[in-house]
Parts: sequence; C-alpha cells; structure tokens
Amino acid sequence: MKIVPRFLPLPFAAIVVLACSDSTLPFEPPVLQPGALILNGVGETGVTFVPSSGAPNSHIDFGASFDGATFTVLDNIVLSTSSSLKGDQLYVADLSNGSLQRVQLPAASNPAGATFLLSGADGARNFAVALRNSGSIARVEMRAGLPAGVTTVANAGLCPSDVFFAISALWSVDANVMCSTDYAVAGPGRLIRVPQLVSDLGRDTIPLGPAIISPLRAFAIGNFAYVLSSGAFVVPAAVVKLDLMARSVVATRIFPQGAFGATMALGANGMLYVTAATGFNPYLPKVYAIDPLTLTFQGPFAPSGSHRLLTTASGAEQPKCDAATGDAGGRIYCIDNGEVLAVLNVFAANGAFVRSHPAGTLAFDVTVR
Amino acid sequence: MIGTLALVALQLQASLGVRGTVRDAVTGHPVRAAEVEIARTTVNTGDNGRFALAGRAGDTVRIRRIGYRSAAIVLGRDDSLMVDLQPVALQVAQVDVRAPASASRHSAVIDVRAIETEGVATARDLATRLPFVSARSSRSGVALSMRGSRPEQVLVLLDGLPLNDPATGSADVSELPIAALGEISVLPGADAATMGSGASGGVLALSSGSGSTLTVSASSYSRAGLSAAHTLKAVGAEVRVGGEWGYARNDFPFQNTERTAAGIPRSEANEVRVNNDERRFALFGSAIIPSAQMTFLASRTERGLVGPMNVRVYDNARGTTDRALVRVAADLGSWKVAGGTRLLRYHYRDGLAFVSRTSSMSLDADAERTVGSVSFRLGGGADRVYGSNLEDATRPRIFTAAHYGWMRGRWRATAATRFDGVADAGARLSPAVSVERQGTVTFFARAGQGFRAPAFYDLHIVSPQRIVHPPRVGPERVILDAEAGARVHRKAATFSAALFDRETRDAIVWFPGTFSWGPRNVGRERVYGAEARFAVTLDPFDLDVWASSRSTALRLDIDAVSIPTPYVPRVDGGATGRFRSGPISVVASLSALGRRPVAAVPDPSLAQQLPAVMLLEMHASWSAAVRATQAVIGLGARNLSGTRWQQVAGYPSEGRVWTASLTLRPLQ
Repeated sequence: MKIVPRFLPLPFAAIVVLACSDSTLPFEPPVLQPGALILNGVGETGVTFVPSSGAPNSHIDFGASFDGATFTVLDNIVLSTSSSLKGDQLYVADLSNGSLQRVQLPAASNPAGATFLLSGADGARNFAVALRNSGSIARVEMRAGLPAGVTTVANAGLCPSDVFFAISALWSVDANVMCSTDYAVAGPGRLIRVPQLVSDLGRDTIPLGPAIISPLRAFAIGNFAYVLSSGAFVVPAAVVKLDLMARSVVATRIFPQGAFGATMALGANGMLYVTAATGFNPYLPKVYAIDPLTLTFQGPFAPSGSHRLLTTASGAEQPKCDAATGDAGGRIYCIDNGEVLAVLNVFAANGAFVRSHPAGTLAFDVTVR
Repeated sequence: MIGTLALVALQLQASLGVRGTVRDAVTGHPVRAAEVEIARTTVNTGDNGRFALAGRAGDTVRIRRIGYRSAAIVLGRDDSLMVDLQPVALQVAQVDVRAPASASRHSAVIDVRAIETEGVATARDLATRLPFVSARSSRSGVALSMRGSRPEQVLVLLDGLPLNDPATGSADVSELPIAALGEISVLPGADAATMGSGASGGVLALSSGSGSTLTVSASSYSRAGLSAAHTLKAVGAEVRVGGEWGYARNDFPFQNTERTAAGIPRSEANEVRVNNDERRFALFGSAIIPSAQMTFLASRTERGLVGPMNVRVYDNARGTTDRALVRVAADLGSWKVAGGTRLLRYHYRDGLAFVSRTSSMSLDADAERTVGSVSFRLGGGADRVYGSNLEDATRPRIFTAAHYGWMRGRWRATAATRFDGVADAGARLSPAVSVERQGTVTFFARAGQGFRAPAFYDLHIVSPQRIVHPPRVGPERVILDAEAGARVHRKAATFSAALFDRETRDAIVWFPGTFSWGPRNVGRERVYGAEARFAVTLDPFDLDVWASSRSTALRLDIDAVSIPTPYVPRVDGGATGRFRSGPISVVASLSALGRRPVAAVPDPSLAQQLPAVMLLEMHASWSAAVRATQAVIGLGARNLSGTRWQQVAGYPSEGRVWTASLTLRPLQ
C-alpha cells in the first residue's frame, strides 16, 4: 500500500490531473471477458477495465474525493479507500452492475489497504480496512438497503498500511512509521495478528526484520504471507515471506541496493510482481517477478539487473512500469504513467512487446481477470 | 501718480496667486506630496494633487516628486497650472508603483480609498473586486490569476517591493491591511523586462495609501475589523502610520454533500464550519519627502486551516504567517537608489504533533540613472529560505536593465531589455517593445519575453518521507507575450479593450508521483483571449463594467494532450454601479465567473468543473459631516442571493454575508 504523505507542503497551485481516453465508455455491465482491471488514483479516478479483445474500455468513476493507490478485487467487487486528505472513505465498486458505494470511515483515520472478510449468514458483506492514523482496523458491514456499519479494532500497530484475512485471523501490516505526523520511521515493520475481529484477546506481533522498512502491501497464499517493504535510501526494498502458522519469517528477498518498492501484485500465475526504482530522476521503476515458493527473482532478466527484460516493439528496453502484474500465461501487464495519462503495455512471457492500450488517467494498481 | 501706479502694479504682480494641480502623466491621477517651488518658497501638493503659492509672471515653477521626472514651468499670466509629471519610477518599479510603459498596455487602476467604504473590509474582499483578476480562496490565502496564469505567475508589489514568497513563488494578499493601500494597478501580461523573474502572467502593483481614516466594521459569522491610519505633514514631509486588526470566526452552516454521497441522510449532513477562524494584526507606515520615500509593513495572521468539507484531518490544523518589510528609495543627484528587505515566516501546526516552519528573507537593492531618453538600472539581491521541510538555501541574483522612450507627435514607443542572473536558474534576457498612437482612439501594442525562475519549493522540496527531489527543474520561459488594444476617452466615458496571446515553454507544473507530488518542466503553454472595460460617470451615476475571456492550454508532450489550467474560468467579468444623492450612496456590484475545471483535463466533463456563478453585492452608505470629520455609515450584503458556491472544489462558501461599517475621515 502506498503511503500518501499526510502533509503536502502548502500551496502548490497548478495541479495537473486527468484526461479521458476516447475509447473509455461508462461502465456497461456485465463484463465477463478477459482483460485488465486498473485503478486510476488521480484525475478521472476509479477503475478502468481494459478488455484483451481490444473492445472499448469501461470505467466506474470514483469522483474527485478519491486518492487511492491500491485496490483489492474479489470476483466482481473492487475495494479501495481514500486517505484522510480526501475524506476517509471506503469505496466498494461492483463490476457486475457498475455501481459504487462509499462508506464513511472514522474521521481523520487515514485508511489504507482493505480486504474481504467472510460474508455473513444473512447476506451481509464484510470488509476490513487498515486505518493508518488511528492504528486500528475498521470492520465494515454492509447490508442491502441499510447504512453501512463501521466498528474499529484498536491496537493494530503504529501505522497499519494493509490488512488481510488468513487462517481465521485478521493480520495487520504495521508500517511502524509516524503516519499521523511526519512518517518518520519508528522501527522495522511488523505483522500483527488480531485473533478476533471485535474482541481484545491480545495480539501476536511478528517482527519482519531490520531490512523491512515501511512495509506497504501484503498478500496471503495459503498459510504464507508476503509483505513488500518499500525501503528507504540506505535500506533497499524487500519482500519478506512469513509462515503464518509458525508466526515467523521464513525468508527475505532484498532488492538491489538503492531500489525502493512501489507496488506489489499477485499475478494470476501465482507470481508476485513488484515494481521498484533505483532513483527519482529519472524515475523508471522496473518489474521484478518473484516466485513465492523460493522467493527468487524470475527471468528472463534484463542484461544489467534482476528485473524482467521487457522490450518495446522496436526492441528497446521498456523504460518504465509504475505498476505491474501477470496473467495465467505469464504475460506481464505494465502500467506506464505519463504526466496525466496511463498506458497499459502487455508483454509476452519472454518480454516481447505484445500490445498497448490507453488506460485512463494516472494508475497505481492493476490486476487481470 | 505714475509711481503709485507702478507700485500697485508691482504689488499686484507680487501677490499673483498661483494655483495648480499635479497629475500623473500616465494614470491622470493626482500626485500628492509633490514639492512645488517658486522663488525659493516651497509647498507640497495635497491628496488631491493641488497646490497654491504666490508667484510672479516670469518666475520658474519647479515641481519635484520622488518617482517622477522633475518639471519646470515659467509662469505666464495664467494663474492656473496643470502639471503632468512623467513617472520614471514606473520604469524602475521601486519607488512609486505604477506600470512600466503602462500607457502602452491594457491596465486598470483601482482607488482603494474610494471603495473601502463600500463593504470592502479585507484584502480578500478587495481581491474579488479587481478587474481582470481571478481570485480564489481555500484553506489559507488568496490565489490570484491574471490572463489565465497560474498563481505563481502573478507578481505582487507593494511600493515596488515584491510580496511573492520565495519558497512557493506565489503571493498571498489576504493578510495585507487595506488601510495601508492607496491605489492598485492591475497590469495583465508579462513584464519581465521591467520586473524580472515572476512577472510572467501579470503584475499587481499596490501603493501605500494617504490621508487619515478610522474604520470599524462587522459582518456575519462573527467578523469584525478595526483599522486606522493617520497622516502628519510637516516640514515638507508626509508621514503616515496606521494599524489594522481583524477577527473572523467564519462558522457558517453548510450541507456536507460528500457525506450525503456516502449514503448519510441529508438531515445528518448539515454541519457548521469549524476551525475556519482568522485573526489579523498589522502595523504599517510610509513617509514621503521630496527626495525620498519609505515604506514599512509588519503583520501577523493566524488562521484555522480547515480542509475540504469531508476532510476532518485538518480540523485542528493552524497556520500563522508573519510578514515584515521595509523599503527606502531616494534621489541622490542624478541617481535614484532603492533598497529593501522583507521577511516572511510561516508556522504550521496540525494540532497533533507535526509542526512545520518555513522562513524566508530577501534583500533587494538597485540604482537607476537616466541619460536623455534612456534609463539604466542595475541591482541585485538574495533570497534565503529555511525551514523544517526545506533544505536551507540561499539564492543570489543580479540584474541590469535599460529602457528607452521615444515620443514624436502622437506616437510613443518604448524599448526595454533586462538581463537577470539568478542562481539555479542561469542567465536570462528579457526584451520588450511597445508602441502607441494617441488620439481620440488610442491604439497600443506590446510584445515581450519573460521567465520565472523555479521557486525554492520547486528546487529543494523534501517530502515527509525525506525524499529529496534533485534540483533539476529549470526556469519556465515566456517566449512571447503580446497584446494589442485600444482606448477611447470621451467626456465622462472610457472604453478600453485588448487582445492578448502568451506562449510559455517549460512551464513548471507539479505532478503526482509515487510518493509525493513533484515539479517538472512540461511542454508548452498557450493562453490567448480578450478583455475589455467600460467606465462612465453620469452624475449621479457611475458604472464600471469589465469582461474577460481566455483559452488556456498546457501541452503535455509525454501524453500528447492539452489540458486547461485548473481554476481558470474561460469567461469572467464584473460590473459596479454607483448612485449618489446627497449624503446617500448606493453601490451594486456584480461578479460573474464562468465554469472552471477543478482538475486539468482535456475537455473536462461537467462533473470535473465548478459551475458558473454570478454574485451580487449591494451596499448603501450615508455620509455626514460632524465638525471637521466626515462620517460614513455603511450597510450591505455580499452574495445577496445566498448562492452556495465553491471557489475551490470541496470548500463550501458562506452564502449571504451582511456587513456594517463606520468610517471617519477628516473633511478635505
């Protein structure tokens, strides 16, 4: 989960945001075809579905009060959140009918990652949201025709940046930074187990190790969890693998020196796809594919590194992937953000350029269906 | 007998009373505090520019005033003089604030003293009344735009001293005490040949006020103000000191439409704005003697920095702005010299633990000498910015400039060029030319180039995550700023209009990044449009109408799209009508703002724009003489229809605001 700075220094007037793609249409449900789902976090915010068939894109508009950087998708439901800079809301979009519901979360709680919980026997849909500034998890219960119910579970860390549900427990990814003030690093990241959603039976805290600074995003695969650490200048990005049953760190994959992580996605082929850059000027994040079993980088590699070789149609190396994932065939879906527009580039498993699609305005997360 | 007659004639000649008025040759406004000398007897002009002195035919009348070329007239038999002083300080823009070559450009001059009894209690109110200026407020100050510019492209001067914050590049006029102000010259268009960096969209030139005044005001939502200024005249000098205090609770009710959009019932979405208060305090002064002028200002403004209507994270955030400036200008023989210093400190507290301090200090000095039709200037200075979110940085700068003026018959022309050297921005040459043909219809045209050096935030910003953006942003360059227009003066009516076109390369624009926003030089930006103003006085009515239309397009090379500048309306305008009958005065002011995008998008949809709005302001005042004092009691309402509109997306407005004021001034 990208951490959005709470304080942006004063009046920067001219702010450029979005643009529309001519090929983007209002959402036309249902869309049950292969394609990529993209989270547009700035400009014309929302989710954009890019069909692999080349048919026009579909888009569900989240409006101006949205600044989410990650989403979680299960079946036809998309979860994302706006930070406290945009009103602390949970966005629940239904791809089957193009509808959008917004849920007001506690004021100034600064929501981050969200996840699905088990649905209630009465049909209630349940979600959990990491609340950075309040160090807690929000449990959201939505029933048709009724206002959403929101309860909070405290003591989920100093700065919960993501949350997931596994082996009958809720797990909070604690970035362990001063979210509510200046994001100063308080210590290595932690994974905190919340045994019951609304009880106070104590917590299990798993230190992620000294190399895990400001963890952003996590996925659970079976009994294992994978946490992306963004890193800092002196500490490169890393992915740590944890055994949730044993509640311990299994392995840590450290990225090349100087690389800081931006996004992590779980591909349809079971691979983890991380985008990371080694500098801001120029800012050229690359795609790293990681086998969750061995936590090793997977190729084919670019000649000068451990990131994936992606080539453009002309044969040059693909310069930039702001977010990426993979489909079941190992094809890589890469978001290349311009100044206001995003482009989805698709590469074959060997890295060869396949095709390109307009993807709406600036995008920060992608998944394939 | 003959001797007696001769003596009487001599006495008559000796007692000839000479009366006159000294005016600004460019604006036509009276020039106060000018020194008028006849036969070693000296007087100063009053606020209305008038003087009276004894003289004899054949005597030489010498008129001097800092900021103007001196004039000398040999008295004839006419005992009534009208003297137009040519403003040279305009060229240098330090001493007296008026437009460089303003006669050859579209401009407007607003007399603050005339409208401060019309319900204008703060500089924020004042900004909305300026022609050709678009002003918007959100959680802090006022952002200005002229001719479709971004706020940092508007240079604001007080008596020639820039008020723009070196950290951000933009100027916030909201904390200025309006009692300190005299005239405001609105000068749309780039003017780097005179002003240097930053004057790439327009210049707002404020000058110190004159006279004595005391105003008490109050308005809805617990707003109150007290301002006073007193002018002393002695020994050829005019000294004015004053102060201003203001408080506003601004706790107006509104409906939180973001909450209703989240499914919360409307009845539960009615809120009252909190942490929206403002406290202002300012001291100011100016002193004018025939060969020198001094200005000082010190102010403190504390505000609650409430966020957009659905954002609660700023409910305890507060900001304090301290400003102090001193400016001294003097005639030293054939040289005119000026120097000044300004301090700006911003203190931000989020109500929890995070505190940010940013301070800037600037020094400016320059000298000017005129030889024939050419004036030369050279100067320099330095800006230093330091704070908890910035790397400490100091930036020196130097410049040299030349200005040539030419007049023949009805034709006037100017040519100017300025060379600036600014650390981190390199060396820049900014030329400009103008031509004008005077007549019943005066035509003018002007073209120039300019630039804007990156502000400190553009170069040295450090995000809360301690990620430093390398100083790789270069200056943005106005490769052409051109305008052509005409002016017509007919008896009591004035009409002026201009077409303009500005093209900028490497515009500095902030874009979102992965961890924070960051500045970049982008493609090219073009703004073109037209503006017009009509004013007529048909006693007892006055009418002043202006309108402006422009198209803005920022071409982003990477995306190959063009986007309009956010918050710049395609059309806007205003009209003010006044009716006076004896002691009663009624003013109606209408301001109109077209649709404007809240985000930069190509062809923004309606949802991505704020709707057009038209606001009516009415004010009535009653004036009475009480001994030697003129008392003006005013009552009025802003936004009379109570329109709920947003200047910045997500920030509600207060709707109708009732105002009341009492102003006391000495009778003229």
